[in-house]
Amino acid sequence: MKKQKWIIQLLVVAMLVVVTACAPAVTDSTTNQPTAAPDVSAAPEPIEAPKAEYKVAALLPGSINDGGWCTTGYEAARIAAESIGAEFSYTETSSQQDAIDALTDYGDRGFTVVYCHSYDYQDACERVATDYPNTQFVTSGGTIMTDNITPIYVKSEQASYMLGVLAAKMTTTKKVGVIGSEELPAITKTLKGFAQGVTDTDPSVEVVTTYLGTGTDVGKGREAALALINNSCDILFASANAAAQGVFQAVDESKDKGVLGFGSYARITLQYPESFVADMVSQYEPVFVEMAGKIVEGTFVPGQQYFADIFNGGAEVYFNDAMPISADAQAAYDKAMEAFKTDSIIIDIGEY
Amino acid sequence: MNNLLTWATLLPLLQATIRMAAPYTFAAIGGIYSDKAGVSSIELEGLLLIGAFAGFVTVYFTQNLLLGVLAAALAGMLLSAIYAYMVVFLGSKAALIGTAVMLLAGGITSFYYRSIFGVSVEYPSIVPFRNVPVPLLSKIPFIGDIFFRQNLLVYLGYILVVVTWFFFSKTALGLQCRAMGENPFAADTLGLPVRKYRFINVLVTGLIAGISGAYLSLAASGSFVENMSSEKGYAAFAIIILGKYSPVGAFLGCLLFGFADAFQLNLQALGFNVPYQFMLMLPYLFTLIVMFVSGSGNQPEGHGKFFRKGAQIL
Repeated sequence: MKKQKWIIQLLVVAMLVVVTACAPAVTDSTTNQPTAAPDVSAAPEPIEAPKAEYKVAALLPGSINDGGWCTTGYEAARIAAESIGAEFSYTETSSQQDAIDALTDYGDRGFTVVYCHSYDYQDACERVATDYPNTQFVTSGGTIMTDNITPIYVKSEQASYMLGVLAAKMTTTKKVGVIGSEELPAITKTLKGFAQGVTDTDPSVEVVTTYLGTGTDVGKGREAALALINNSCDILFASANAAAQGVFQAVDESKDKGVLGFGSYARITLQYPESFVADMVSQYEPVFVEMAGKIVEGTFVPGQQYFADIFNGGAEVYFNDAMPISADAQAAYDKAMEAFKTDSIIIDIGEY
Repeated sequence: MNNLLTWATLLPLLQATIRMAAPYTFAAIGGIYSDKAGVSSIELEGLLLIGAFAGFVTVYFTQNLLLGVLAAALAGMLLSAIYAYMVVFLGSKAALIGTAVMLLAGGITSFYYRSIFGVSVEYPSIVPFRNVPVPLLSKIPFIGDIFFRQNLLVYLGYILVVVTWFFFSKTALGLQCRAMGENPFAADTLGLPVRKYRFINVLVTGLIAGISGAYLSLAASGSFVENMSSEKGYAAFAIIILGKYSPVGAFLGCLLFGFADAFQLNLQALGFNVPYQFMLMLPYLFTLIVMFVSGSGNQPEGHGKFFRKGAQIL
């Protein structure tokens, strides 16, 4: 009996290791998912067969299926790898130590470029980068610049500002609601951009902000949206990772009450064409692809801040063809766009 | 604070309280079955997650909500069988296996979700349960509006609370199940198969907790996202202690947690600038205070104690 017990326990543990490979500990609700192909090793695994000497990796602070930050970063890095015919790997980390381990591993394996998709990774990069001068570490956000650490800043708040401009022109109750998952810089900057877009356009419109405290609780997202609608917000904008799905559903359910929504990160207008006016999409892809190309060509200049904004595809607004906007709203939109061109709008995104 | 106390703002708040209490209710009521029989219900979180996933996938492919609930219950039961076998028959530590079950559920659901639906910012969705007012009952002033204009799963939750209370307080079988938790060795001397009872009770936990998961993906929203249980299973674990292992007490605990969630969102929607973390903390603080004042009162005597025939550990 005792022997049998040990064998069964061992089997279950082995099964767990296999199924949750690459997930060191699923304790945080936003991190640590197993990667697409289960593997017993905790190391990142290649997705495509290596066909060239280039290797590209992505380091992500959460699940690649979080419906926001990590999904866009993962997709961008994967496409950048494809663009230069490189082998591609990724790691979902849950701690600084995970990041250091993964970066060291990528360095040892001679990766060409590692896209570290979080502001928080810059310290880990600084510790590891000097040992691997042949690997370029690119951080999404950050201020540390060395011979092989290069930060990128994507001005996604510009796109949400533009949505705010439209919202201010379209609200009839003079009250709009914004919903965020947690108070993290990547989330707050889009919310603040939207809010400023609203108040710059029409100071009489009130912006009500709700934070959920979770990026995975879809039901709570839906309830937050219903609460805002009950309190006479007729336009909602959400930047709340996967929990935003609940917000989008609630807006669509309430379309008969005259409620409209603005989407984020994905083409929500395609999913709910009757209730969504426009989407903001924050794109890391153009700048990741450009960098990968330059590294291969040998024209890449490391150690300086790279920007992606509303003019070079870093932040984009997609309109809903099924829901044309008024001439007045269009005029305000064009005016704001002009102002961005002349740098006369400064979005206060708080601490970043 | 004045505009908070009008019926127009209070009613949506209380309705949301009921909706948001529902997943806690299923999880906590489910957990009571194993806790009463002396097996810790720390595995709830994993059961919720697997239930949410199984329910969503079933409805996505069949468009049948009831079938989804059934699949969720079944998935919860299957996963709880692993837990029950390890804990009841092999005497493994519940906390350890509970964590393993949670990891397993997280791994399985994310892995299969990614293999079925891929990695994308565009999520597949289904049409969730809609509100169905109960005839007559929904006409009762105040009460009807709050309790009986909800979706079908919420009503199922009410029924389960009553049935569970009746089962454990008024039936012989319920009393026998409680004996497994209070003193398994005494139950054994009466010729009752202790392990079998405990095993089945844990399966019932899995069944009901699976429905809790279905509530998340089929009623609270119409989609599945990775880790969508968002610690609700752990909250339910705390609620059972808060409710002193009684179904009615647990239901009140669930209402408290639901209220805290709804209040947090409504307060923010009204434009009050209270840090949301403060509201999130309240129900847990309350649980701690209750435990501090009364200990983990009413916990079955033989709770968490491994039973092996012939071995007297007590």
